[in-house]
Amino acid sequence: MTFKDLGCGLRTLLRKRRAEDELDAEVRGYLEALAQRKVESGLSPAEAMRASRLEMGSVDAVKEAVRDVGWEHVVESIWQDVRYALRRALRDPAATLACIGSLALGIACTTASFSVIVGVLWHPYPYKGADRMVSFSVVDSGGNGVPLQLPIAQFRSFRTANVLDDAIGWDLWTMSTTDNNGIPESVRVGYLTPNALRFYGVRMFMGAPFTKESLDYSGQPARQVILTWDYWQSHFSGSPAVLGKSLEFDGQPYTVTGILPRNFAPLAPLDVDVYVLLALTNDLNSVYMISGRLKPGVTTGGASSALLPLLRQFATETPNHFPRNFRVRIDRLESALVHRFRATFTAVFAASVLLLAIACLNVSVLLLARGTARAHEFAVRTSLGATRNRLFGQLLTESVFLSVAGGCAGVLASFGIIHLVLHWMPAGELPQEARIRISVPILLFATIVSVGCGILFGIAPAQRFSRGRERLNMQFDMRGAVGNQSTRRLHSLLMVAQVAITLFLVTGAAVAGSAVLRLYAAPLGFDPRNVTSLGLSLSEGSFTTWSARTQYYSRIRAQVAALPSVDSAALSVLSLPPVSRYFVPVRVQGSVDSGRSATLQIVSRDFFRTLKIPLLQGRIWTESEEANAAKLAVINRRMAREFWGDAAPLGRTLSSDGLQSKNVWTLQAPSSNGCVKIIGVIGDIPNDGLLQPVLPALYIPYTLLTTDSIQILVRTAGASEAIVRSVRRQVARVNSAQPLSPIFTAEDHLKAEGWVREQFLAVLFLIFAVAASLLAALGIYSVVSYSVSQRLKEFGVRMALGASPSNMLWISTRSVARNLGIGLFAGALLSVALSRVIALWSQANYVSVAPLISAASVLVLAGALATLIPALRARNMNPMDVLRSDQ
Amino acid sequence: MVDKTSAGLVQGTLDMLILKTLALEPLHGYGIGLRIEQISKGVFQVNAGSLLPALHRLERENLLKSEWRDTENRRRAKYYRLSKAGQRKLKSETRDWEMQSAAIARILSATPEQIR
Repeated sequence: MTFKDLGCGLRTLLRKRRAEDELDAEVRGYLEALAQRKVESGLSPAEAMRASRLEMGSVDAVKEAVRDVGWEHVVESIWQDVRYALRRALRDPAATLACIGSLALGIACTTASFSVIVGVLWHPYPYKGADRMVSFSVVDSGGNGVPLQLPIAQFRSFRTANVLDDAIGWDLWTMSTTDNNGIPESVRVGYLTPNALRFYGVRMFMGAPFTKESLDYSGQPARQVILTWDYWQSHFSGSPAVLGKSLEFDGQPYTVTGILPRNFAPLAPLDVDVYVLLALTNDLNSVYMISGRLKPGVTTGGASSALLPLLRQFATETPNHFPRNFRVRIDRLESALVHRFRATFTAVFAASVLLLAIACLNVSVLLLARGTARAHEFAVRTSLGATRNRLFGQLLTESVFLSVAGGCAGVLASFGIIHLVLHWMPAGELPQEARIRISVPILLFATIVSVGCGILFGIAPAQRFSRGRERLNMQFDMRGAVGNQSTRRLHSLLMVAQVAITLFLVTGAAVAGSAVLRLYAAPLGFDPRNVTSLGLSLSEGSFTTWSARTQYYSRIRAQVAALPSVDSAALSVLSLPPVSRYFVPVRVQGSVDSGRSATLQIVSRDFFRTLKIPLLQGRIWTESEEANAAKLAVINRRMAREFWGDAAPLGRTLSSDGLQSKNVWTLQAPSSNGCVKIIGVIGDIPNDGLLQPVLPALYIPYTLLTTDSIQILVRTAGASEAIVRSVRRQVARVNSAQPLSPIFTAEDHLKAEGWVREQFLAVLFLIFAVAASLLAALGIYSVVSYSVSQRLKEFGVRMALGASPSNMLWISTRSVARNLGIGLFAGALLSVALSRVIALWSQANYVSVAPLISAASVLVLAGALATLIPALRARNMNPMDVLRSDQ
Repeated sequence: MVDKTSAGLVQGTLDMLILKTLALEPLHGYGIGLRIEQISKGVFQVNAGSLLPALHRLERENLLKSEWRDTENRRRAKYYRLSKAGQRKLKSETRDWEMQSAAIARILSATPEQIR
């Protein structure tokens, strides 16, 4: 294209009237000159003009040929097509809405759910080499795993193992501090080996990481503290002035060196406020949790066998830390998450894909139905001189217009839905680090699939308008006022197919949804309502004798329980459901079976009453037994069943190394010998997260093994915010310097562990179900009402010939009812077949009648409305008006 | 008789004929068609549906210039004339055509002896 060409085109576009006038003058001048010459050769002016017209052909055709020379003509005709498409879209808002809405919802749901899956399962952690990060467990012969914990001496040689890139040691405890008002408060402290920040590859939000990076030192390192973003925000309002300041934890000054970025939470789901360096002692009894990163290319299986000899050697040094005949299990950081979410996300994704399929189906059927009914229009236009390309171009423009509008709406809606999901997603549901953002590839995929589908089915009718049939169609519609037979047959077929497939898809989505909901609808086994938990940590070096400490705890509990608004108060160490993280090896006395483990839960006798856990057999220890540290225990039903089967567990004696103190912070009763007698069996409550099966649990009196921090659980009669202040006052009455850690309710705790997931998923699937039904209804409505409106002429003729209104209604309802019926039947058959397949695959019974029936009734309702509205309208119309109108 | 429409013209020949016609004198659309018909002694008859688009295309390619003038019958008509580029184009087209037609003539007059 030359500049001149460009200029000409632009001039033509801008001064269209003038260009058209000039063209008209030129062509007419040509015609006149032609006629003039014929007059000169002897014809009469009229004859000359006629002959000239015949010779030259249609003036408009010549003009069109001249216009075709310029590129601007293409722009013109596209613009015309777009305007025409817009007018058509506005004339039939229901169909337009169905198309655009279907595409938008389909794209948005697929993209949003897939983006969440990608965010959580594929790239959940922003750490360096996160896909190689692992946790280590030692597994006993009974298959029960305990997290690997090592003393520093062993850790030093462990991290140099040749399958490991690096490893860190960590611990978590609370220290006391005072808040800005001087009120004692607990702070949750993460202790890290100095290499940890480099291990995670974290870049500080502000300030510097720990100055020490080597593990050479021993004893207490420099007292530096790094704040988490949240703690910095909540305690220092995000002020940069805190850097370099000195904070007092447990009476010791710590210098603030840095602030972590917002989403750094490697120890999640454990909450941490601040991080300090771990004190490295040579005491083999001080053990720390271990996390590591494998070398690239090393499998978890390969690493476990490579590490086993080293750990066996450790086990000879410190036999108490390892069960007998253990093996090593290595879990990738991601695998826990994948495991936890796989079923959920598969179902959500399946539902979204089904929704996308419904959307595509809607658009396809609608465009096909509308396109095929336009044979008459196209026949007229062809006979007026429109080329095939021109008609094709117009169909293409219309379908591109609809599809692209739907696609744009879909992209916008995707961002909206992602935003909503993140807003609604319960806290703790996803790791804090997971960054969920729109997955561009899937957005492109969904958009291309649906837009492509729209375009494909939009231009498909062009195939029908082959030259031979155009004339036929035109004659058909001109002669008889009755709609084209073959078009009607096609519409019926489309309607049946749409009903059947929609019913199938909606049922499929419902099956997927109910499968997941069932997964989460397990009974809790206890009552989390109106239970508040307060943490209480002793400052280091206080209450170091067993009797002083147990009496102190007992007095605090008694003071709190004495409050009139308190129903019951209990003490518990680290064991508020649904998690307990303290596993111990357990041996049944008089049994050869060894190497089993259970979670140890250290509680006061009121624990069961406070959480309303039912006692199934035997009894709970008495108050005096608790005060005297009687060697008694209560087990959960799961443990009774796993350890003794049908035999009675009561009166049996268990022994465990875990019942004896291994460090200076935990005091054991003077009478303790590592044995307890079982006196009761209580109901199961979740203790390994909500989705995992309940683990065997052993409950012992807190007097038997007394730690330096404990939880006070308080059950109040009703929801009571004032209880916190009262409890603080009661505790202060015993010891005014005693800090209490942040307060949370048992319900909050459950929520943090994913309890609200059930509600969340239910809402999510409800949204899906509503969206799917809406789409299905919209699709059916637009197709049915379109095909009924196509028959308006026929109705006009029938009414003119004397058909009664009720007769009309019956005629219009009959064919739709038949199509709906066939469609529903086929859809139901498909759904039952699907249920069978799923049943085979998951060995569960998923024949779900309710969704089938509700989906079917939505479709019937939509079909009925779509039939009745145009039919009733037709009834009130003058038959002549209907006949004259060019539908 | 050759096909009356320009479809019978060798592809691209119409452009050359228009250029040559206009090299003689500026003409309006019908005049060009008539002149081609006259000079070719009725062998080439050019239809408006081919001629007018060709004129517009050549004008766009900067080979022709146009202006509105009165005809001998005192009508307004759009007169086309050759531009500088058009003259150059005509020269090269003529040279090419002569080469090609001479070559075709040689091929058509070839005798079996010549290829021995």
